Amino acid sequence: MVRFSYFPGCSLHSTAREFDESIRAISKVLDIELREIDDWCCCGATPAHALDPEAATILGLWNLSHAARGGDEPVLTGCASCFSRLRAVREEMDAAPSHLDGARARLGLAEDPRVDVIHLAQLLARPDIVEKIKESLRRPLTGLKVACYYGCLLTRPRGERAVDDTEDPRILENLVQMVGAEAVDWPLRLDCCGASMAMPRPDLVHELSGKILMKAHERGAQAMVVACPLCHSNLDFQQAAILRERGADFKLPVLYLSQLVGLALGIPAAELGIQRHFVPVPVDQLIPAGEENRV
Amino acid sequence: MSGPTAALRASVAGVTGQNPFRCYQCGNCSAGCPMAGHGDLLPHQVFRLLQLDSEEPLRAIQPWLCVGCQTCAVRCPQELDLSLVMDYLRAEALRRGTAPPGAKRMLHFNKIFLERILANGRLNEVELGIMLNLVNGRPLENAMVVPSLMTRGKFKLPFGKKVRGPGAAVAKGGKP
Repeated sequence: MVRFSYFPGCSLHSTAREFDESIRAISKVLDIELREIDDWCCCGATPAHALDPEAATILGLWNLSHAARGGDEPVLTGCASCFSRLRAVREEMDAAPSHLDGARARLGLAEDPRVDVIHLAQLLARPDIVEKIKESLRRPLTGLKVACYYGCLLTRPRGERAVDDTEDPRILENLVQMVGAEAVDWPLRLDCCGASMAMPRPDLVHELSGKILMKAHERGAQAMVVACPLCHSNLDFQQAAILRERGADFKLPVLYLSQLVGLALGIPAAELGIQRHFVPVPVDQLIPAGEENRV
Repeated sequence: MSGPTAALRASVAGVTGQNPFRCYQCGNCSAGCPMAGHGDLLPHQVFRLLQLDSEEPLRAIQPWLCVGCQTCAVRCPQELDLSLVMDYLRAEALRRGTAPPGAKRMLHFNKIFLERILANGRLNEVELGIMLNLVNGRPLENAMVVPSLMTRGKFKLPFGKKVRGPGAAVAKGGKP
């Protein structure tokens, strides 16, 4: 049993609740104990640092201090944006602790909450968890061609807590292969989907996410795997409108990495929230039947 | 060197730790930027204009299009993080009232987002969308997404759980 302080983040409690559901479901099978942080608040995402970097630091420090109050386990997040924000504040503690003086004082903290921060993709690549996944496979995703999409913040910046190489990461491809699927070779794995421009400038998201969807399809992907709720929203929720504009008539299911693993563990699709997607995921057409692993 | 223009370059360097003079205009940032070509400046031109003591970056739309993806930062051979400079330029344009009209949608988005999370602790994405529509004077834009989110269990009324976040601590500083 490994234990973590769990930081779901706002999206995982609303538009990306299937990401949360699937993380919890695979955790049960993989003997991972998640303790949700009491009273966690929004990480601030892009708008906080874009408008008020000091506020962004306070939000990050607040969350890490609430995590530390519950125990010294590392903080686990599924959202690439939450990970990026929490990681930035955590790394500032080592690199330039004096930059946090103001935020620490405003929160009345005597010292920095030096809990570690990790992303789900890193956890699923840990040797002990890899072993556990391999021995728990009940429905290998044999024959499924998957485009791994990293987006921006999962692999950036470089540093001690970096998920993988910034230019040629393999962590998602390794995961895809581990669960029996095939990772397609394609060039737009790290190109931005348009991120938070979805609300203020949807035209830009249509342009950027459109290129990503078209290329993945062109390279033969039957599904895409992501590690960020905003990427998911742009590529799944917006997909029908984006492809209509481009006169394309395919549908590319977009799965969270935890859903991909969950399916291979034999967890029923409904327990992984797969029915909540906008682009339907025809699970039984995409992967061979296997043994069920109810959680 | 004196005057407001030199002060801009100095304050960029001072506040963000990114000295524009270290940029030698290789253009790596512009090659990788997802927003290059969608605005009025290429990313490396922002550094060049700062070197030349131009205040054009404060009137440009480009900083407002930056999504903070950090592609520029990880590829810069001089290890400059342009996304931090973009954050600073937006804030400075707001202080000086030089933000271009096209910045309004991004500004509204950022302001409402931050205001809601400081008030409620957490963000409700649908509430954010509704408030953004009201501010932009298009109350029914994308209204049809609400039922489709509800049928998928992705949005419930009333708007999410409220938690006591650090809103008060942020307000102590009298920030925006």
